[in-house]
Amino acid sequence: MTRRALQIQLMALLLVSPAWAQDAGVSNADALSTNQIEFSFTPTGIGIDTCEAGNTSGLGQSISVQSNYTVSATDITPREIHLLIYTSPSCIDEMANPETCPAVTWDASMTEICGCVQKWTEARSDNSATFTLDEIAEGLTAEQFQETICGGTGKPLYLIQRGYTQDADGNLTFEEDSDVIEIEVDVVAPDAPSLAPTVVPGDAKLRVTPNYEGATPAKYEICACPNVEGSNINACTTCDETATIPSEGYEFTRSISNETNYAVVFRVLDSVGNKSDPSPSATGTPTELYDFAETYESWSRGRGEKGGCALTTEGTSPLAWFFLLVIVGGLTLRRRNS
Amino acid sequence: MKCLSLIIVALPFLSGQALAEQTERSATIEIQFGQYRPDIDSGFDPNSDPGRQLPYEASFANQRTTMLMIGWEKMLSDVLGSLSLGFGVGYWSVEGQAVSPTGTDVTAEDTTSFSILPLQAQLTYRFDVWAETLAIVPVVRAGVDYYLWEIYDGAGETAYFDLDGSKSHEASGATYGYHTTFGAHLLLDALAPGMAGNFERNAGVYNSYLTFEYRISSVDDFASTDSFRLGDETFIVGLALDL
Repeated sequence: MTRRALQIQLMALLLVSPAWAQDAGVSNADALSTNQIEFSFTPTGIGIDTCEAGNTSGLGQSISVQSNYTVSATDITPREIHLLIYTSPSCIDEMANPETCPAVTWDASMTEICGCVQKWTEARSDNSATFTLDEIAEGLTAEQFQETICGGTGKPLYLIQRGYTQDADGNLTFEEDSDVIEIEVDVVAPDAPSLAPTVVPGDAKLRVTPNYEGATPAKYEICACPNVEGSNINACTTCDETATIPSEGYEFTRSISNETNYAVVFRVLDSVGNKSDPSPSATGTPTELYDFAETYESWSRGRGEKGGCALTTEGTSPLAWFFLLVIVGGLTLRRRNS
Repeated sequence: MKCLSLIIVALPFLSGQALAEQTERSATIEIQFGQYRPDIDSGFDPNSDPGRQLPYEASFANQRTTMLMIGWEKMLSDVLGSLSLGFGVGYWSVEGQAVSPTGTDVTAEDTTSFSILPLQAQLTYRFDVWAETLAIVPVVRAGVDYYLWEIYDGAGETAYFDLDGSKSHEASGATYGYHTTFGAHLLLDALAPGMAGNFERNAGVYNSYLTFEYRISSVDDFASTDSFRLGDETFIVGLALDL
């Protein structure tokens, strides 16, 4: 082997070896990744309504999670999963003792939550849990709740699943954590719209296009009430919520009658459901309109087209069968020729 | 402009020798476009309600919109020209405005639309015996039609014929009819024989035609007074490929 050839081989080895190392790493990771704990969905965030409820009559909002634990088919080691909740990441290190579950604790100043809210003693793909804010807020006064969970800083709550294997004596050994999910806490309502919606009346409906200058909201709430004036529209409860507004406007049909004047407002909602104040109102009066079928019918005065020789569920017309035969026959001939 | 005129005049006499041997061809596929408007309003007497627009005119402002047709034909005979039997399917749609029952202007707005899926079976005769010297091939077609149609309201849902609100007759159905077509197919192979040769060797396309046709259709369940009149006289252009 010449010196030049040796140099080339060495260079090739240098170039290839990181790949070898990487491959080996991937291989190990693959082996580990056969057991994975995941959340099936992210729970809804906590908004103004929930926080205000905490001041008075308890916290109705519940948080639902579902665990998705994928275990390889050959692995029959018993597993236990713990669902942890916390406000500070340091909590995870403090949760070293798996025996204290379920148990949610607050720190001495009652500003940080850390604990286990649920445990599943069997690793299944359909483990799910629902717990209320009341449960995790136990021991807190309303003020403490406000300060801790609904503080003006909007400090989020975090959830994580921690997986353990079980030996024959029931001792738990930490195996892996799921990804962390964040429960958004947002106690600031979106800015109120400054412009009235565009309202185009139709036949027993209103096409409403909200005109909002702020960032695209998570949802719009559109409300329409008949014969109201001024701020009375703010009390209107005939409302629809929609996440998207079609280019031709949202079709509002709830309790709409023709020849009645409606006032329409909209509010914007953020991702946790906080609502803005209502927009200025716009009005519209729906009127009876004929689509083409009705226009045709009004001319034919009941004598005209009613569907003709349609392909119906009651039977297929002879000519339709003829066309079907032509198509099938043609394709057959074509295939035979080719 | 003069050059263009010369080409147009000379084109028919350009060598049509690229026309493939008749026996090699077995089928033809076509794609065609035409500005179509169903003749629905012809079923009504405008004097019966003076001052009020007829239904298609009122809803769709007498629009003509593009109908797309694709077709396939099997060659039956090539004696004294070629005779083929084929079928086709197409799509046509028009959008318009819902109108006031009285025909008066109103501030309210809504849309309505009308879609047709035409199916057709037809015999086609192409007088292509002189195609080797004349690149324009006269064509005559005749066939039967079956138009599936549906009317939509402003919400995009199928409309109803019932003004009483009973919603017992959905505005969808089908109508029979027939058509005849006259036209000329321009053999494109004469324009680029080399390209045509490659197209034949690589794709199996023996001849390519630019098609110009005038179709007269009568689609009204054979003059039934209770049916839509979906016939029209339509100028159609397209592309046909002999396989």
